[in-house]
Amino acid sequence: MLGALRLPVMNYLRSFDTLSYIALLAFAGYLALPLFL
Amino acid sequence: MAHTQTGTVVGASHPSPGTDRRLQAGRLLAFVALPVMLAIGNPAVALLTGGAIVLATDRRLIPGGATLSRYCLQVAIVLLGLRLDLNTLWQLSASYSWAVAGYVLGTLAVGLLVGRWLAVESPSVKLIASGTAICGGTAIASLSTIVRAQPHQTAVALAIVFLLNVVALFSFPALGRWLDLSQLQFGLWAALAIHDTSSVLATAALYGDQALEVATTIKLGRTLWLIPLVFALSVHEQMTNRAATAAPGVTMPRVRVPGFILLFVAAAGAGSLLSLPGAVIAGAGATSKVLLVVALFLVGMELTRATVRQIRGRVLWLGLGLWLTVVPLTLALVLALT
Repeated sequence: MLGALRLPVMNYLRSFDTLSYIALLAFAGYLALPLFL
Repeated sequence: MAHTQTGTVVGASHPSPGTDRRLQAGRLLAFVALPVMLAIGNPAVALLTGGAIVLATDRRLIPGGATLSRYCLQVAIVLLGLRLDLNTLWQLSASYSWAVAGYVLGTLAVGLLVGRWLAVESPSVKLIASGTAICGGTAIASLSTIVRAQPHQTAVALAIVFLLNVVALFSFPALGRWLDLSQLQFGLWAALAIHDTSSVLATAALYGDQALEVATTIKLGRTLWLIPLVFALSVHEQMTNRAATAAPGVTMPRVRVPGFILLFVAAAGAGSLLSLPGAVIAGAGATSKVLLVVALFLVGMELTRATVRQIRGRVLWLGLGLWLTVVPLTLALVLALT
């Protein structure tokens, strides 16, 4: 299952620009907020 | 459903001098009604009035109205940020971000399962489940190209969400008062259970200022879930439709943080750090409420007779059933958390 996901995920990540990575980081930061409470 | 620049509905009855008069009369009505709506200051009434004018005339009265309403809403949200301090924003987001996560993932799972059980077309299921879980029309519009939805499937999903937004706008404040919910409880409930940001804000504004602040903060966190959803659906489409996604000229959708969310956080930061005068904060609050009424009036004017006719079938039962399931469940969740 994870092996089948690897290629499309890597393909998609290759199409990312800086703002896309910032969006992912922003979302990860939002999810991590309770850890800093 | 398409409209020409002059506002004539394509596919409707043949235009005649009478229909031109209908367009002019509709615009005159809208011109007179908007100041009245601003004086009343009730976004629910504004939404209904805008919808009634358009349904009566069956014309697109304001070209670009959808864009204008989106900008009004986004400016209103940013101005609301000035009233919040960064600490409140942080505390609220941190306290309830996992509740939002549970709601989003649970609603998506139930929506996808029930949609399959009802044998609804796959793109419609994904649109309704995402719209209910995350952000109504915004999610549907963002995801429709990724899931390869046909225009009629997107229109039906948008129409159902519109209908449920109206129901929420009129029922939630009365239910909240009947249940004697606190401002925090109502803000949380509205932010989780109502589809569109505009309706979340309008409903919460009808309940109170504190409910509005809570609802705005939590709802914008819920909107961020569009980022992983766009990611997951894009990867899923690559896996299931490799030939289509590999075709020349096909570009994968990019994930983005909506700019107005960043501005909202920046406004909250400015409000906290700069110790703005009370008059500025009060002015920002009043302006945001005016913009909210204008936005809801314009949202109502996006309704058309054709849209209303499309609200039927198994997709309607999916959207309605899913929403009627999440409304009491989110209320129970809010009562358990607060």
